[in-house]
Amino acid sequence: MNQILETEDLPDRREPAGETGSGRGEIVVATLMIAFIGWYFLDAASRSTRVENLILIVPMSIAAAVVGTVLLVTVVMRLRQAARAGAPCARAIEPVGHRITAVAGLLCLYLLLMEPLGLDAATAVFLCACFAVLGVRGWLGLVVAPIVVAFGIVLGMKAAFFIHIPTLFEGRF
Amino acid sequence: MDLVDGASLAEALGLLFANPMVWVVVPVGIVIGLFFGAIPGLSIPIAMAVCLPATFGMDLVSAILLLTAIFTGGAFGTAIPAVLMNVPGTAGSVATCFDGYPMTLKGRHNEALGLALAASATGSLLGYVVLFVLIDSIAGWVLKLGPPEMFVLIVWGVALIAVLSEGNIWKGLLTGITGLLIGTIGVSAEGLERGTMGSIYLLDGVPVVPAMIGLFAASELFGLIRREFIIENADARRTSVARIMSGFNSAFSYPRTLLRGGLIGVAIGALPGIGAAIASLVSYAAAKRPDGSFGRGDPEGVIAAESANSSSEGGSLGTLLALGLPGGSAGAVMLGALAMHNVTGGPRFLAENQPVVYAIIIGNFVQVLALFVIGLAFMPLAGRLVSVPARILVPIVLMLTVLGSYALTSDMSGPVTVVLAGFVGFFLRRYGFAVAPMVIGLLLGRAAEGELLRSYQLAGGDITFILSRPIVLGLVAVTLVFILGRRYLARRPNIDPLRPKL
Repeated sequence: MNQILETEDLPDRREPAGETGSGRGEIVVATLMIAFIGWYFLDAASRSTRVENLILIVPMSIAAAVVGTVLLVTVVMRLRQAARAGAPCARAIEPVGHRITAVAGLLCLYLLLMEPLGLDAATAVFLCACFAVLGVRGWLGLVVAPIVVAFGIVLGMKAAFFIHIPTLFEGRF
Repeated sequence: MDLVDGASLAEALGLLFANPMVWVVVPVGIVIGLFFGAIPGLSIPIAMAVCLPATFGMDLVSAILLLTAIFTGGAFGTAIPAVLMNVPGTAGSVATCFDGYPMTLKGRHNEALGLALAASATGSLLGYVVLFVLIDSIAGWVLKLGPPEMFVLIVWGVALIAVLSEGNIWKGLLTGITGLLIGTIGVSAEGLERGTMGSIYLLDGVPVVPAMIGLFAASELFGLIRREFIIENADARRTSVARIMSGFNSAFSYPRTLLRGGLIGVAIGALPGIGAAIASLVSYAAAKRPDGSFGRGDPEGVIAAESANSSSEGGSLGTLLALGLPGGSAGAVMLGALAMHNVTGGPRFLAENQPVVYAIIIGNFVQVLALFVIGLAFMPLAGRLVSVPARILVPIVLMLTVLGSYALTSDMSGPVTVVLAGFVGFFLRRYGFAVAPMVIGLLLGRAAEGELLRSYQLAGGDITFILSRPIVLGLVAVTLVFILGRRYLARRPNIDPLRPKL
């Protein structure tokens, strides 16, 4: 953990933390949104070109194309102007950081474990690992608290909501 | 129907005072609503749905009052995570984040909570007063708005939030349009799949509430990981009843904002499906001053948003009772409670059950008074949330959002949506794109498509028919004024263009 904490403040070499990093990120995010809308339009049109199917999708796709183009042109012009002037062209952004990446990974692991292990056990594992990554220490915080909180909440949910909630011991013994 | 009828009023008071159950269910409902509203991942409709079976053995007035008490408590409860963590529990609380969270970051969370409570309770009270006096007019007004007006109102709402949010306006509009289109994923009106990538989980569309929670909550929590506490300054973290009370009292220094928010809330809240979210945005936009203070922790921003989203409950209840139309998921649960008692909302219900309608509205007045008291008692407890270290708070809130979304969808589609939307929200925020327009678009996409299609069918295939409606033209003009006005203000050098960071 100490190592994680020590490396947290170091710049992430894969993600430029300088001003142009933000400008490029804006272009990537805007392009992804436009690409998604284009794909969605094509997917919907491939099913049916009737008005009932495309009545909102066509005007919104056109609007997105116009708005996206204006946005991209604006950002590119800003980047060019800044490059010419040798000045910062966008706000500085912090690197993502190892702890955020680790928590994001744990969330994905949590999703993968929920059905095979049951919501209670998967929740306990997630809490324990997340606490450890974020710097909680001691067996009480790392073991007892996650188990009590996870099993308490999931059993409470089971009692309160009339839905099937997979749990660790359900159907196993 | 003349609602202010002395004989019916007397009968309604008799119904209320002869029934001790009424006075038990109101505080219980408010406490339940506060807890469900304050915990990210849970929601007011869940609380109402969980309590619905309990209403079976009650009389109609107690049953409806229990559910409206949950709604009243929850409407304010959702302001708590919005103010303390920038996590709105419902779309109606999105605008509360604009200034509530910046106040928290400045160590003014006590005042912000007090302000939110006062504005919320006053807004609710105003909503019920208007409902009491104007229930017939509300119904008539709602009926005048056809599909074209509803469609333009939705587009107006999305454009409004794009204008109000962080980043440049083009970014806001692009995320809003993307949200609207994501909202239409699933089976179309023709019965064809669109954008589902073959997944059965997407046939009914992207789960909206988990997506909203992910876009706001998970992405905000990722940002919190960098910090030790939500508020870094130890002195500012302290919970102070005196400061909560000071915030509470100061809300009444803005009577115009409270009144305007309340009236906007009740008028727009009466519209089925879009009420609270758009009401709070419109109220916020109406209150916003061009001096750059809004979005930086201006108390008036919190008051404008909270008074409108709470008063929208009155409008929503009016539509439910007068027309039998639910304003959203919570209204649908309430409709279920009415059905369990063999009652259907509508003009006939109003005409034949005046004392019951009076009793429900008067019971709601009492609820508001109870919210003042119970909310004030709850605030010091809620305020302590900022004293919980981020290393404990982040995993627990993430877990609650994931489990809450499982409870919402009853399968893995909820948790998967929360996590994916969390990643999307994180990267949107990172590169200066506001997530709020995407959320509002996502919530209203399906309704927008339905209203546009109905307009097209009503006009016999001539879509230009929409532009022949005066209300539509008025709304289009207002939308353009908002967008162009925002661009004008942003270009004026003496005005700080900083907008709320959402």
